[in-house]
Amino acid sequence: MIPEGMRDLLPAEAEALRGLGDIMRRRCAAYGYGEVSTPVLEFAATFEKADDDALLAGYRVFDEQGQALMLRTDMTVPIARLAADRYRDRPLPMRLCYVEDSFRLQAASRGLDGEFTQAGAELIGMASAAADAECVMLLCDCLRATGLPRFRVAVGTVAFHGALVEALGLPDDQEDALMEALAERDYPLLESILNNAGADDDAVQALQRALQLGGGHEALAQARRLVGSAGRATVDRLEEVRELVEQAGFEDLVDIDFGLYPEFAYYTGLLVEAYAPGVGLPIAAGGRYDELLAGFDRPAPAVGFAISLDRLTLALEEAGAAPRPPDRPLTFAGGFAEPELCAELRAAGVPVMAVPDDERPLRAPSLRREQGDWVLEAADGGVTRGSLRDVRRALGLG
Amino acid sequence: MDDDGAARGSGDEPIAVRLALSVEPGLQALQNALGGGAALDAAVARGAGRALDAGAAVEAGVDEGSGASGPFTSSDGLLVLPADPWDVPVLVERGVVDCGVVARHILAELGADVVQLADLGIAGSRLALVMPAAMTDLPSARRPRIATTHPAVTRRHFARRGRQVELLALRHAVTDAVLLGAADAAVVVLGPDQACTAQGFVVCEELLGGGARLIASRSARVVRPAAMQAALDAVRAAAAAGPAAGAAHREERHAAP
Repeated sequence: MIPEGMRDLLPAEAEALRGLGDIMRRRCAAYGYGEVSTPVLEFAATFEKADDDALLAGYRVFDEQGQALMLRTDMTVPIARLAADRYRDRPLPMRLCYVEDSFRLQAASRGLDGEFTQAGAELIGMASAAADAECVMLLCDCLRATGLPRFRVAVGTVAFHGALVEALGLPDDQEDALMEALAERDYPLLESILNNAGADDDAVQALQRALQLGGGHEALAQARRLVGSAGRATVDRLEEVRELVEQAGFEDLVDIDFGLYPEFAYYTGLLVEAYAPGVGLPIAAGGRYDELLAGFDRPAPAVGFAISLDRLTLALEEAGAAPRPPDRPLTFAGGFAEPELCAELRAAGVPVMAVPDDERPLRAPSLRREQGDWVLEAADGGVTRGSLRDVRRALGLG
Repeated sequence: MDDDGAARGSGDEPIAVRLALSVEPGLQALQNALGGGAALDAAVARGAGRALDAGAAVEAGVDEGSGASGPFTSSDGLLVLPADPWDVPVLVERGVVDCGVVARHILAELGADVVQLADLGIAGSRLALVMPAAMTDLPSARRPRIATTHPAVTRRHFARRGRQVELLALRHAVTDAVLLGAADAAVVVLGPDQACTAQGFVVCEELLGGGARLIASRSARVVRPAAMQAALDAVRAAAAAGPAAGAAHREERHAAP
């Protein structure tokens, strides 16, 4: 028995997850991101800086002094803490990446594991559209490097909601209701709130269009009309980000999407989410969080993303692009009595699993002795019978 | 975007949009209007996308008499999977299907992380707090006991109003619980114009109302916007044409030898 939402990873799963993590590390390194690791336990007060219920819904324990500790529920907050604290004197910008597990109290029955692995990157100390674009292109780069054949990356902005409320001139109480409807992605409710508030039909329709379609020129045009001159800078910036990402060789992957709603309260600008066919929830999410570091007394703009390696694995399976399982080791019947030969093979890069001499059947690839001959059975069923030299040659060891 | 995002950039055939359609009496007309007829066997349904044991999904909790059928292709090319109402939100959220049609009260109860695209204006229902006509008010000296099939919605409704209640979560006979003295009131699903239940319970408060909702997975909305827009239009048109088209279909079936 293990606690709800926790998991064991068996060799094939562990290998697949590690393989994906390694791809992410290599891609992040290619952009100059340095990998960090932070403690699984943080002070609960650290996560309280993020002021978000979902991030506070974590497993808590207490230390000897009675201080509340929490299993991390996210990696962005610990990295913000690290950048402001341990790395206080390091000049900005800094680029950090990670492949780590986080833990949340959430319904495991809904495909939301209590323990999950994320690979992500954070660019701290830059506020420009170029920094937003680097975040989005690194995300595209990471996903493409996994061999995932079809995915889309949606970019939006928190600022759209503010511009929208302002443009519509809604009263305060209606503003909360509108935000709630946006958060719930309840578009019929949104429509009725706008109608009740006396918004004109054109505006309501334009909003419906902008939200319903995942992106594209039509949605963009509608959004531009909606927010008017006040919100134009918001839309322009998103277009700039998309253009930069496309110039980096990621054409036809990025859509501007005004239906994105921040998953966490710390997001202040850019929002980014990635989706793949057959997996209903986002395989990656992120955005700009310009206020979070101020909570740790080192105000700095920042932007980042996290890929859910668990959902990415599902997406790869859906697309028939799951990573190849690792080669099975050579099963050596009687290997315990041949420590020297075992050592030689292992040193030459052949994984060897020793089993007792009389163990049968042997799963290929295997090595055994029969009436003085060595018998090597390759993974594809091919059999080599003869001297140890023949075996060495068959294994490609000269 | 002028093309279906999912179909682009690969040589394979565009995949049909998969729609999970809640099997409830109010939505039978929509099912007929979508052009149910070309039945698919489970193997074809599987081939159309993710491994999906359509047969099993239909089996789960669906009454034979409700007219439920297996998966079929609509006249607009949607792959329609009639499914248990309580399964629809989860099937959509997890991306097993791209979109679904389901009652609002079920969506609210399950709190699925999906996109609610449209209120179809059909199969309207309301979730209401009902009491026997002879009783007037909930007890004030103690926490009222409320029998409900929708504990999450009921809890939220009263919490938002700062009222404390004790919930009795049941699968079915919530009004019986009141008659048996286990609860003071019950939360039931009523038709849009239904003022009282079969037992003569009257409505004292409405928790939620509205027509059936068309929902989509967050993924489908982004990955294949053009196909989803087409599906939205097709389902809306079928919902608008619903009752008439349904009648026509039934006649055709009667006429068939």
